[in-house]
Amino acid sequence: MRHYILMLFVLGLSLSARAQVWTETNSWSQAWEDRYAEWVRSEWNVEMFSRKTLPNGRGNPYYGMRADCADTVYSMRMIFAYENRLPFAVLDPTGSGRLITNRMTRYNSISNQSERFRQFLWFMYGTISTASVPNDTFPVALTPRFVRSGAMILTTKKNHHSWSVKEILPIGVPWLVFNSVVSSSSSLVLQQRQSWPNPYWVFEGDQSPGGYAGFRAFRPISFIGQPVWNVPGYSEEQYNVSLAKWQKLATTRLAVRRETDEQQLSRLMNTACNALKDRINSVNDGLRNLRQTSGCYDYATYDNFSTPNRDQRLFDDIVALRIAYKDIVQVNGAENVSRTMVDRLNKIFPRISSSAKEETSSMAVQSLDSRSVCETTYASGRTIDLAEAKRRIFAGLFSNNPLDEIQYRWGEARGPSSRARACQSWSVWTPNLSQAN
Amino acid sequence: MERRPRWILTFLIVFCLLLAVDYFFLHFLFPLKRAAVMEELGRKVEESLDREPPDVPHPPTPSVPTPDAPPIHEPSMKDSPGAALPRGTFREAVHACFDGREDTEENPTELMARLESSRELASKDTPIENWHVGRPDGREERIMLVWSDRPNAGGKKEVRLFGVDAEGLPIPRKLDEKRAFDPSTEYVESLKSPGEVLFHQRKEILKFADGTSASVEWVDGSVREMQLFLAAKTLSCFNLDCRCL
Repeated sequence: MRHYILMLFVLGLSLSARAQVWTETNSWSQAWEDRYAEWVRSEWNVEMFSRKTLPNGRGNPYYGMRADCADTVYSMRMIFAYENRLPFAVLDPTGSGRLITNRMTRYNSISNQSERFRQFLWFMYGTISTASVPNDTFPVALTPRFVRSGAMILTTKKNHHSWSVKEILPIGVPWLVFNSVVSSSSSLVLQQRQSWPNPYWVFEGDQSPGGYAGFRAFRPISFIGQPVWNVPGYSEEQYNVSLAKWQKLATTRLAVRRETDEQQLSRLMNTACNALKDRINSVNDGLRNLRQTSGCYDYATYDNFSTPNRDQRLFDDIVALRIAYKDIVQVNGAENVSRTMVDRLNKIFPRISSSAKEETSSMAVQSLDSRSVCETTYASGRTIDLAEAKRRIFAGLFSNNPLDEIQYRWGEARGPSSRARACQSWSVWTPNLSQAN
Repeated sequence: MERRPRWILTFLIVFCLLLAVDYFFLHFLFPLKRAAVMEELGRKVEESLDREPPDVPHPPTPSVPTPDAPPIHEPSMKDSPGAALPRGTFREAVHACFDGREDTEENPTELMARLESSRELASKDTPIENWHVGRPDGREERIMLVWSDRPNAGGKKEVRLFGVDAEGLPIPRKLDEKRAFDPSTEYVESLKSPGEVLFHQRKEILKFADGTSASVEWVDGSVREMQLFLAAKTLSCFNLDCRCL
């Protein structure tokens, strides 16, 4: 008899264990939305998938997940839901009209819960995309109630990118965590920035709600599959603001305090520096592949290892620093900025009162000295500072062509190389200096 | 000592029986029940269309989905574009958005088809398109043509292929990466055969030369959801539930 009871118990356990990816024991509410925002602010970071152990010493269950930009945004919500036993759902992007949820039973045969969740993540990464984000999110008003930790920014299809909002800094500027597809050998570390992406880039080609760009938040599950305009908080406000004023309006709306001129310049300098250093890994991926191959690339390979979008973002970040410095000089002669900072900026922008084109044509090669910031070693024995990087990228010397060797990729010499010249290339990026005035 | 094998054997038999019952319900009874329900639903919809006048003022709001709910939009429901359809709140919404300047005798499908042919189109994009294909052996596969998420794709597309599991959810299948990225029309067509297209969904972003734009979801040739962004107002429709915002 004892054996039969034991048998029924085991059977009962086995049947209940086949329930789902994880069992939700909580349900979403405003309090959970607030906890989600707080978790994103404090826990969501660039090492989410790259650290092997968590701060508490335990193994990182998400180690090794390789996420692209849309995967990263979805992961933020999925991981929080999983860790807190909350329901998670997205509209099946294959058009079945069903929801893909934590209750799917496909992975029931995997007894280890954390492995079951990893398999679910891989499945999601292979199914969702930037094109599915509008099904599961909605555009929000530029207010702190909606634009906060856990939200996201999406671009139009022209630039096809998304960022997760880790935090809105007290100065009204977003701290963004994001990623791009590179190769299977590239770093697992996500990328981050503490500055606005260029609104002209975000909304390029379509500043209407139908372009889906701008700030968006996850829909409550009960509103997935419903008309987006019925979602509480749906707003078309950000599409009615001129792009010239978009960033200023958003900053004013979201700021709780104003940063000083020195703080602003320092922040923008750090952002540009991070973008410069992040470029190293991407270019190295391309160089590694270049050495292992010969001849021309097909489009897919070329696309994998070229860096036009990354170079545009680095350029945008340096432009943002230039425009901010120029504004400050015009308003108050940079009287509130430290001497050290002014010296550094003057090295990067030697003719701040002139146009970017004039400054670029007259700028000499910059060597490392006491005014250098962001010294970056991109290869053994090859170190530049932000001033020299700026000179090269403004002069169009940085090559985004993956068929170019290192001296062209980093602008020591003007490309294209003979191999690049002999092959077809796509999406060649060149700087638009009129944006930098 | 001799009793242990017997209870283990009993355990195994009971377990196998449970699996068999489970399989029977999942693969035979549930599909039969679903087909019967769909048939009944279809009959009821037809009956209600016969009974009710064409312009029902307030069609029911789409049901609120839960994670385990059946499909929110039944993918195999087909509307023929030319058929007489109830206009729901379409007439009032069009009147409000166009100040009486547009033909309110149409439905969203007819309106979008006419706008596309009569207004100058500046651009037309299709972010995502899905086909559900019934294979000769009875399996269903889904083909998705979607904007690629590669960092420098610049609007180029990729095609994805999915099987379908017992829950009706997609199972990603591997395709030749080089052919799947920026695929040729021939390659996409080749994925659809052999078999019959059971369902076709297409999302479009239209930009007109006059500055207006639209986001439209077509299902089997009919508009399921649309937002027409006019200068100061937006005409939004989900099936025939429309409003001017």
